[in-house]
Amino acid sequence: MAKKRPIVDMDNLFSSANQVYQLSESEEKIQELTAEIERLRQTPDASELETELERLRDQLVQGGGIREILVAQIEPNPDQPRQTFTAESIEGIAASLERFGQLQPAIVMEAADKFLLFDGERRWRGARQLGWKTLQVVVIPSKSELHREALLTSLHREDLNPLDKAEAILKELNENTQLEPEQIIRELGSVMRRLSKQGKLAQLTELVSTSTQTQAQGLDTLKLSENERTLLLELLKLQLNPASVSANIFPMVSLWDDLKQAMRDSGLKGFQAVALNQLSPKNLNVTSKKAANIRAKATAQVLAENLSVAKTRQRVKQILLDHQPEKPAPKSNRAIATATKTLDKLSSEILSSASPEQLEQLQQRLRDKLEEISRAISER
Amino acid sequence: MPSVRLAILSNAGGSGKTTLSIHLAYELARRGATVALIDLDPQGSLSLFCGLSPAAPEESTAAVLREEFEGDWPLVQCWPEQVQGVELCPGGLVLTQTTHEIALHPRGSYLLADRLVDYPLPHDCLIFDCPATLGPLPMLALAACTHILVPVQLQPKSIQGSSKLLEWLYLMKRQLRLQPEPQILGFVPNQSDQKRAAQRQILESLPETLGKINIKCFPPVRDSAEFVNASAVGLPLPLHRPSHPARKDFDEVAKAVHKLIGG
Repeated sequence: MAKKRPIVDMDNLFSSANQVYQLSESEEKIQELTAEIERLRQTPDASELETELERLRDQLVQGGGIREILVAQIEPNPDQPRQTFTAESIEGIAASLERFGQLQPAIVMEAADKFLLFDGERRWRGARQLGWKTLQVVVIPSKSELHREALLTSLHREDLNPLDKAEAILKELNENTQLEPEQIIRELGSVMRRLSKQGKLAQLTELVSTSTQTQAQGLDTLKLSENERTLLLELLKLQLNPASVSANIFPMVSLWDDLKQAMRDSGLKGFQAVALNQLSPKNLNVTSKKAANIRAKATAQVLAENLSVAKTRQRVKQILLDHQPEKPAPKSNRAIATATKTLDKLSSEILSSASPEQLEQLQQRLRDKLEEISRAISER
Repeated sequence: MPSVRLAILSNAGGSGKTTLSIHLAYELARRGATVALIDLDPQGSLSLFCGLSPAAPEESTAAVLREEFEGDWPLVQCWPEQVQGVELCPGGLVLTQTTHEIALHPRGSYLLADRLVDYPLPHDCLIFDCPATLGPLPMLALAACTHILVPVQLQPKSIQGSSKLLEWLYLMKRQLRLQPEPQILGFVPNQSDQKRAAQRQILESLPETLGKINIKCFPPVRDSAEFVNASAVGLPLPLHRPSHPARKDFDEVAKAVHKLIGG
């Protein structure tokens, strides 16, 4: 049915109000953004980081100048510690690129016939989303120590999630100590437990913000094995608290892959993931495929309802309760199962080798039992 | 200063500002709140609607705005036999004089706000009834208020007028640099007559049109001759005709304001 033509054209009557509303909305947005920039500037880490990147960028622009290269030629840096880019944050940067253009060049490294991103992965992803052909970049020479630099510049960014952090730290420790990741996690866990028992954790934590020399001397007093000492010193050099890395960050590495994925793509928080991680095939008493389904459903719920960590734990507990294995069968059931099994054991070989008297005896017993069973059934 | 100071604004005559003011005051008082009605209208209709005789210039809002004011608010009780808690600071023709004074005063538009800071009123809620213009008097209310209610008739001219009002509001908020900015509590459709197709259509699309710019549209107040009759005897409708169905038409607005007061 055709829509009835309205008598009154409300939009037209209200057009001036709509205009001022839009104007005031954009003014508010500008005010918000200005405040946000001010806030970021005042965060010590961020400002240091930005100043550092700014300085770097300036130097690069002066040295090599800004180049425009094909977006398709750029590859993300596999060593980039930050692996989490939610769709939302890419949308945001894409909107900004579209509206204001590219305000800052990305920093890339030349590597064979392609370019590796050093800084500006969000810009690059945003540009790809917008279908941009080229991106403005400054090019730096390839560096062997790239990972450490990238790690240091982003380790203290608050938006680096614990999973990315864990993997980045493990990689860094692995390179500097030649210990395997599993061994690193194990050794760190055991030394932390020991120091905690000895009441020496505070002593260790105090070393985080001291000079490397003091850190080395401080570790000497803790009676550590060679591996332990190396590990702790590396962590302290990165200004990380070993206790916190062991308790809060490394557990992320052993999360189920689907939970890791959710942390990277959908912004699932570290502690929520740790809670959901309990939904294992063993705890749920189901196959791994079924467990993965249950986890996926619970994860989606946690994200959709934006559940707090406490609420997430509650939900997980409830799911585990719902999947409690059935209580062990009562005694009578077990006796019947045992008898059935015993009967199965009477193979045709055994029966053919038995004496006729034995067989007749068995037949009689079975007949008597069969009668009892029939009675039991008919009484139901 | 009371935390809820409500400006009833409309640049159209007959849009129901005074009716809305007194019914809101009455409903709030009925819910246990105290209300001061501040008349900023030279026509002084509030006095008439409250059954009071026109006030002398020195007993009106104009006196409050004068330099020599010392905090003696000329408040008169409204319907003291029937309900407690509503007081009126009357308007009157002398306010036209005030308009000129405002223009010359260095704090012009802030005069009323300044008075309320210097000589605060103890009421839970203040209601500023403004004249049907976008001149200096509503500016006084704008600079002193925390919230704004806009009564509007369901007619194209009134709708367009209210759109202009919003434009004016936006401009004034910037010029007066109000911090915090007053919030538009909503539009109140007035004299609604569902027998008219154009009105029905406007009423139907108004909430959505307003919603687009983030403004609430309250349920309509129906058109009834009893409102005129009630005002003629100086009473709110629920006191004049206790069983009239229209007495409930202000409930939603009153509820919203009462909630702001913390009731």
